[in-house]
Amino acid sequence: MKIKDAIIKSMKAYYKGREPEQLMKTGKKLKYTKGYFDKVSSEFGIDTIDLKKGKS
Amino acid sequence: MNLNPMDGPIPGENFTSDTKNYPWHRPPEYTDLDAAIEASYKKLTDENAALGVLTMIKMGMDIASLTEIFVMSGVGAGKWTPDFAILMAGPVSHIIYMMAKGYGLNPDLGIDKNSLPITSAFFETNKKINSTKAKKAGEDVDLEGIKEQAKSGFMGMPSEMPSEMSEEMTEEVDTPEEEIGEY
Repeated sequence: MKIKDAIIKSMKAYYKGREPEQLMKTGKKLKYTKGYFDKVSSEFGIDTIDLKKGKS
Repeated sequence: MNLNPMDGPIPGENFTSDTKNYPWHRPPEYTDLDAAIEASYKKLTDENAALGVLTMIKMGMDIASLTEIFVMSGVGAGKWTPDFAILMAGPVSHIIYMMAKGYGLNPDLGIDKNSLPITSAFFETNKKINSTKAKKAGEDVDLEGIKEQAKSGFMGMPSEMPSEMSEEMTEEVDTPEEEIGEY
């Protein structure tokens, strides 16, 4: 697997709303999550990206 | 020169060493994801960097490629490790996406399998395009004529064939057997 493929996989998981591994392993609450950026986007009138299962 | 195999470096020793070497051989600057994303945001929204990012998106570069370039440049600069770069890819791509949307662009995320890789040929071709001439060429296209022809389908013949075309189509072509006979 190339680094680009890993990055695309990580991006897909992020846009599907899955939190990064660090959150699950360390138990530390992350500030900059998809929810945070979606909130900022809505304040600026920018549409959000949602990749649910089965859709891309 | 006799090398003592028991005197070699321990794998991973470079990460605990502070001696002068490549940036990615030293311990990374950021080990906290929030701090790394905040630093990435400041770097991306810097005037010069933002101009470059938005220009590349306007030229047609997808966000996944830009994210890869940005996070891997951070690895090369010793900011974070490659694993961290993969973790950061989502938030960083979202920042770039918001920047592009805020500027009025319609960026491609680049996560579909159909996305083509960006090569040097893409940038070379873009450099050669004269935007004024390209705009004029677009304006000179006979859209109505094309729409009319499209109605008759792909195999639809034009009502009047140009004379040069009809001459070419009726021209006699030498058969391979005749050519072989000449040798």
